[in-house]
Amino acid sequence: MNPAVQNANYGALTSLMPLGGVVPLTWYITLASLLFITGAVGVLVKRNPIVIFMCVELMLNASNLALIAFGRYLGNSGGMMFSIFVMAVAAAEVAVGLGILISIFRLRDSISVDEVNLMRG
Amino acid sequence: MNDTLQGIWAISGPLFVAIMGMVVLVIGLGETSPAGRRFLPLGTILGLVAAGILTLVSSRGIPNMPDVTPARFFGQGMLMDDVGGWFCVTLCLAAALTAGMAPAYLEEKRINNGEFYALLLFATCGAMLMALANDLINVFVGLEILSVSLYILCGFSRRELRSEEAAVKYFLLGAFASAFFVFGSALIYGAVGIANRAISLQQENVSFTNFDIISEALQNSARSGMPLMSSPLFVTGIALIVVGLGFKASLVPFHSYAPDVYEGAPTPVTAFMSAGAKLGAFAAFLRLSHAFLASDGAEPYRLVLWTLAAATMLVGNVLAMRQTNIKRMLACSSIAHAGYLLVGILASSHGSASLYATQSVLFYLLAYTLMNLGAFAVIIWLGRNGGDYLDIRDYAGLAKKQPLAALTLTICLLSLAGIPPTAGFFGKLYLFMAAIRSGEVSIAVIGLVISAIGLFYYLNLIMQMYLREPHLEFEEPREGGAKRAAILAAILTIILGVAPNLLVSPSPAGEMNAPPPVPMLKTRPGENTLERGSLPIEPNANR
Repeated sequence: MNPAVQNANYGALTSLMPLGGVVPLTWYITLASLLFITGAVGVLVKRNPIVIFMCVELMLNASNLALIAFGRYLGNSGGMMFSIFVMAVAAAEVAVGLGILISIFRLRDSISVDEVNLMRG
Repeated sequence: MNDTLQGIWAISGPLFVAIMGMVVLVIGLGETSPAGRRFLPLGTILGLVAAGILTLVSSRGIPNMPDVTPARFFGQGMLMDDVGGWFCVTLCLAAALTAGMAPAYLEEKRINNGEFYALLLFATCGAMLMALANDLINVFVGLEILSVSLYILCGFSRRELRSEEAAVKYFLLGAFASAFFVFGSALIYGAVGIANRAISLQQENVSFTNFDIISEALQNSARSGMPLMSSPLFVTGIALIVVGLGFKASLVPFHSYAPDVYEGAPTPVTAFMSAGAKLGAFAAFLRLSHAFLASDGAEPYRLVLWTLAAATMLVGNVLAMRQTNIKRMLACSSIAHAGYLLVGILASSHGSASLYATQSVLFYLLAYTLMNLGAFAVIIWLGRNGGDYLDIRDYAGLAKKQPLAALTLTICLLSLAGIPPTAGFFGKLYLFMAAIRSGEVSIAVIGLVISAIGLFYYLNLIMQMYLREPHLEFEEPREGGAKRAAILAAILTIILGVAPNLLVSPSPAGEMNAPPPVPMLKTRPGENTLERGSLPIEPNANR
C-alpha cells in the first residue's frame, strides 16, 4: 500500500502531507481557515456595508484557496471548477450589492448599518 | 451528445423558466404602454403553467426510456426524480400566484416594470435548480441565482427607504451565509476526497461534492474503520453548510433578519420569498439528509437538526405572538413553519421512515405555499391607494365590511394553525407521524405542544375580524389579481384539506408517483412501512 495512503489518518490534519509537494496541505487549510475567520469576525464587527462586503469576499476567497489546495492535493479538477463558479458568483453579488448600496445612499446620504433601523420588532 | 440532450430534456422545466425570464425582460424593457405592461404578468403566469406541465412530463422519464427515473444527468450533477419534480411544480405555483397578486400593488407604487416578472422567473429558476441539484456546486449556483434575484426584488420599491433597508440587510446577511455554504462545501470536498483516497477508491473524474459520492464515502469509510463522521474536516463542513442553508430557510438562530426583511420588502416579494427561498433550501436539506441515510454515524447531524427544529418552532411561535404588524407576524410564523418542516427533514434521515418523511415534507411545502401566499394575497387585496392595512388592529370587524376577504384570510390562517379541514392540518399530521415512525418521538411531542401555542396568534387575528366592531372603512380595496390569487389559494387549501390524497392515486396514471427518492431506499423493502392511499404521493415500485 502507498505510504501516503497509510498515513492518511484524517483525524489529525498534521499528517496530511502532499505527494512530493513543497508546502504541506495543512498550511493551506490553516491559512484558508484563518482568512475565513478573519472575514467572519470582520462582518460581525464592522459598521460600513462596503467593508462588510469586502469581508464576505475574503471569506469566499478563503474557500477558493481551500478548494484549490484540496484539488491539487487530491489530483482532482473539481475543486478548481468549483472555485471558478465561486468567483463568477462573487462578481454577480458585487454588481447587485453595490447597486443596492447606491440606491439606499440616494435616499439617505449615509450607508452605515447603524442607521439601518427603520424596522424594529 | 445523446446524454446532453437527455439532460436538457430532464431539466427542461427550469430551462424554460429561465428563457421565459429573458423574454419577459426584453419585452418589459421595450414596453412602456400600460396595455402592454398588463400583458406581462399574464404571459408570466402562462409560462409558469407551461413550465410546470413540462416538469411533470419530464419528471416521468425520458421518452422510450422509462427505466431511468430517478435519473442523473450532467455528470451526475443533476437529479431528476419525482421529488425534484414536485418541488419544481410547487415553485411554479408559488411564482404564478405571486405574479397574479402583484400587478395592482406594483402599479400603485409606480414600479410595475417588466424586470419584476423577469427577476421572479429567475428566482424561480434558481430554486428549481436547487431542487434538482445532486452536487453541492449546483446547489450553490441555484442558491445564488435565487438569492441574487431576491436581493434585487427586496429593494424593488426603490423610492421607499424601508424596501432599501430590507434589501441591504438581506444582501449582507445572505452573502455572509453563502460564504459559509461555500467554505463548508470546500471542507466536504477535501474530507470526502481524502476519505476516498484512504480507502483506495476511484479518484479521477469524480466529484467529491456529489451527494451520491458523499453517501458512498460515508458508508465505505465507516466499513473500513475510519468513519467520515469522525473527521473534523467533514463535521465542520456539514456544520457550515447547515448554517448557510439554515439562513435561507430562516432557522433559529439564523432567523434574525427575517421579520425585518419580510416587513420591508414589497408585499408580493415577501409572499414569494416566504415560499420560494424555503422550498429551495429544504430541497437541498432533503438531499443532504438522504446522503446520510445509509450510514450509521449520522447521530451528530441528527442531534443538530433536532436542536434547530425545536429552537425554530419555539422561537418562531413566541416571536409571532408579540407582533402587531401582520407582515411581521406572518414572517415569524414562517420561521415556526420552517421548524415543523425541519422535523420532517430529521425524520427523513432515518432509513425506517425516509420515504414517508420525504413525502410529508413535500406535502407540507405545497400546503404551506398555498396558505402563506393566500394570506399575503389577502393583505394586498385589502390595500388601496396610499397604503396597506398592516396593523393587526386594522383588521377589526373585517367580516362586516369585506366578508369574502375575511373568509379567505380565515381559511388561510386556520390552515397555518393546523386546524382541520385544511391542508395545514394534514401537513402537520404527516410530519409528526413521520417523526414518530422514525423514532423521533420527543421532537413530535415538542412540536405538537408548540403548535398549540401557535393557535393563539392565528385565532387572535380571526377573532379581531369576526368579533370586534369595525373602525376602518376598507374603501375601494385593490381586488383584481390579488383577489383571484387569494381565493384560488384558499380553495386549493380546502381541497387539499378535505381530500389530501386527491393528488395521488395508486395507479401510474396519477399525478406524481414518487419512486423512492434515492436508489438505496429500494434495497430496504422490509423497512418501508408506508400505507398506500395515506399520502399524496405514492411510491411506485414497479417502475
